[in-house]
Amino acid sequence: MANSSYPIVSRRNSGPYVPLGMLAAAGLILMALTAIGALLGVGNPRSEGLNASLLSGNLLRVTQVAGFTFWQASLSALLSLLVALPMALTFWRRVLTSRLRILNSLSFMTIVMPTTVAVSGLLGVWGQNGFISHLMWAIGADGLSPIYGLGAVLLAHVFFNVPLMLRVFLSGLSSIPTAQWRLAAQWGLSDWQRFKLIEWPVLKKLISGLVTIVFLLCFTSFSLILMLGGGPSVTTLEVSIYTALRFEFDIPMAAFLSLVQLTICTVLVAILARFDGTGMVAIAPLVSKRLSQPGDTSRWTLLLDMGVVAAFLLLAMAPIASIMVAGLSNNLLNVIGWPAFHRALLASLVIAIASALLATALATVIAAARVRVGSAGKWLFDLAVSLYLAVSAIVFGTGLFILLRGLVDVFLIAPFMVLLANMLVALPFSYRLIQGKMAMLARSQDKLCNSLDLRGWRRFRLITFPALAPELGFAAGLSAALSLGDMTVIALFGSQQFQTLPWLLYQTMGRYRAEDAAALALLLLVLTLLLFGGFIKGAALLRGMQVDVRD
Amino acid sequence: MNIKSLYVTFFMVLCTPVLATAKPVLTVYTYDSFASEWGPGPSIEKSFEEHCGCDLQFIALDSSIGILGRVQLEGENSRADIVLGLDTNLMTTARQTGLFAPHGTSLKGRTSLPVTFEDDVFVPFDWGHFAFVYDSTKLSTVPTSLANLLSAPDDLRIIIQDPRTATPGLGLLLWIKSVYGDRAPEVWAALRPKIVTVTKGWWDSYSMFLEGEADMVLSYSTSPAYHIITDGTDRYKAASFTEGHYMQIEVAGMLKGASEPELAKKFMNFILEEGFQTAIPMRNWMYPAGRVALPDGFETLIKPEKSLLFTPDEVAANKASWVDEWQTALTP
Repeated sequence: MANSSYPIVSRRNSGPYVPLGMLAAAGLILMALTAIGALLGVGNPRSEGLNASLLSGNLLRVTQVAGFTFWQASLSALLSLLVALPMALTFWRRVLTSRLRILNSLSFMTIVMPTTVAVSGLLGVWGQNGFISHLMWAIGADGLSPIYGLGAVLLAHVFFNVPLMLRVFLSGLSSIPTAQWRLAAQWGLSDWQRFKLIEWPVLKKLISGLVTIVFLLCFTSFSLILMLGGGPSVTTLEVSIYTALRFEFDIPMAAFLSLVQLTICTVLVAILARFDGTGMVAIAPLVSKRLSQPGDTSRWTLLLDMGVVAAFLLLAMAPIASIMVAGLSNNLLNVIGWPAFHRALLASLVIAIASALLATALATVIAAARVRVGSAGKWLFDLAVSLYLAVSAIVFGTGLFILLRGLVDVFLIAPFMVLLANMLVALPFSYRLIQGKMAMLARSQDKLCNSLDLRGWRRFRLITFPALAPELGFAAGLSAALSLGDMTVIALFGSQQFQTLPWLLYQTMGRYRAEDAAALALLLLVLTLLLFGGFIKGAALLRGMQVDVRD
Repeated sequence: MNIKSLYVTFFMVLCTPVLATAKPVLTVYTYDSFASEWGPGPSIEKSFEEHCGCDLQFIALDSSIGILGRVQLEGENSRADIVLGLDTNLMTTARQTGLFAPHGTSLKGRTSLPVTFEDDVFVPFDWGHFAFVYDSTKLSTVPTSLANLLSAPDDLRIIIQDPRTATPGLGLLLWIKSVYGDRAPEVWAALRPKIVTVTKGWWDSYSMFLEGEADMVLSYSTSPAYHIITDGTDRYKAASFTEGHYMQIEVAGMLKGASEPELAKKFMNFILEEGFQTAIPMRNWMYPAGRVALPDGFETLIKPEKSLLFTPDEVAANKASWVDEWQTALTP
């Protein structure tokens, strides 16, 4: 045990996390580059490959598309932030302590839905024949006109990303020690002072990470852009990558565009990483409760909160409700009886659970390594994980396919490829969710743990896990949900013998079966919710057991 | 059930079809909805297996262009014996890969296509006309020609698909090109205000149309048959255009590297027979390429007098520049 009589915090004394994390990061970077490299190496079967004339002919368009992609992603991220911040404050003030709490657990579902489903939900509310149009007709006004274009894309991106931001902000707010709220109430701080002194310092730290992830998500947005964009003028690099790869079968061009996309994203990650909070905040190791404040009962605050909750209902909840209503038809029972549904359900469940556990474990290791290295190392870890938001699944999948085609039977390994790809897609989210809390915990517990010579697995089990359990549960739940919604990789590797639920949904849509598709979409939503809830509850349960042992 | 036993079960489910097979296996790559339970795949499989003494396996990929890409990536080592679901627009490109073998089947007198089709590598299995579909309970003034559609007021809203990602989208591009030639860019510019949105796939558009997002949607002239036969409603109709309708012919081809070449030839011949063709109208919602009777409901569909179709070579030579032209015309 402690041979040294001087228990000092030292980076060399950090256990296996740093080497493990480094290994993982190196693996992640290598895998992404190999996949793109495989595309570059394959050459173009239909022409001379990536030659100068091809490039110069396309350069102008590529620049324009890249510019627009950047613009819409920045707008989307900024708008999501502007909507999510006040919502987080209101939720923290009202919703979490009331019966409305359920809203919070429903809302995240937006991010994980297959795009087609999400868009049909959005149109159920904002469409010309949607909920709002019906309301307007009821009061004698004209219905909404078509919403397509940049506005619709922004609306959809806000719908997708606000719930995610909201969750992370709330997790940050819940880490403010109760003592601070007590003090604030005693000192009679005004709403603004409280925001500035207590809430903002915590939220500020989360912003750069969140904006990064949302920006990257919107930067690589694809089907949604094509559905709501209104025409080819609203487009993204990802659309060009897809068409290069599938329509023109111009593999080197796809690889080149992927590199452009990757470069822009890397630069952005690098810049935003500089703003990552590094200051000290007092942090409670366990979730703490907010104490009510004098200003909470003022009429204006109440009114404001009601407005924000109403906006949330309209923005995030109504589309989900619309999907649920559409799915509740006679076809629902029918669909539940399909043998194909059972097979797809089993496959989806296994893949989702496995990918959730893997992604969460990997994210935890990397996050733990991140707090033990210097700023260059931190940057490396952030980059390695964020890569998989910038490398599109179709490029990654095709690259892997090219690499593996001669070596193994692609059909037999299809489930593992889907698992791997889903895990990589979930990793950036898990990592962002876990990393913030991990950093806060490290700051407050490092010295104590080192002086007690608690490290490695024991420290994780006894100290870190109980504090981190809510984030781990959320990360695993979100990963499982993301994996349930994935459609890209399965489409590349899929076969009749191996089907997941989204793939089944996709097949149903191909044959006019609108009601069956709606029923399947509803089932997918419910399953997502169950899995997500299961992981949250599971983590809470495990944490309870751990706390018992410790006592 | 714990996770481990779940995974074991899962793996067994996965491996069953592989282990259970002792007969020769004929592998057919096709697009997703063809192989699905509601597509023609299962019934075709059943009727072919009655005679062949083999196991016919469909492998579903995400689109017809996806099938070709997959086969190109796999090259000589492809598992596929047959590729089913390309169309005339992809034929030349597919032929140029050098991966396909002659089918050795006689097509003469066996097809019911509105145009002549002779090819030694590809066998047609179904066809259809592209058309704009509308809801007759909502749209009163229906355009009767492309020219009519162009001059209609801008509150006539249509949804179309992207020619780079969806077959009907490419179909409309070629339709306009074959009617207007060099004037295509101005036609697209005139159409632009009427286009609500351009989607990635056919279903995205079609479901938006069903939800009331537009007056007309680019689809097939056979789409109303689905609503008549399955939903029992004739409210959805296809608009008949006097300039003629562009058509799509879907084809199959066998690969040089087929591991079961004799079986593959047998299947290529089977494509135009009754056991295959009767599955097409009500499961793929297209016209069968062979000579079989059509189910009730199909007689109510529009019958374009003129079928427009570029040769596969023309499409292969010009597709890229025409798509560029389209993109420029629709970008303000």
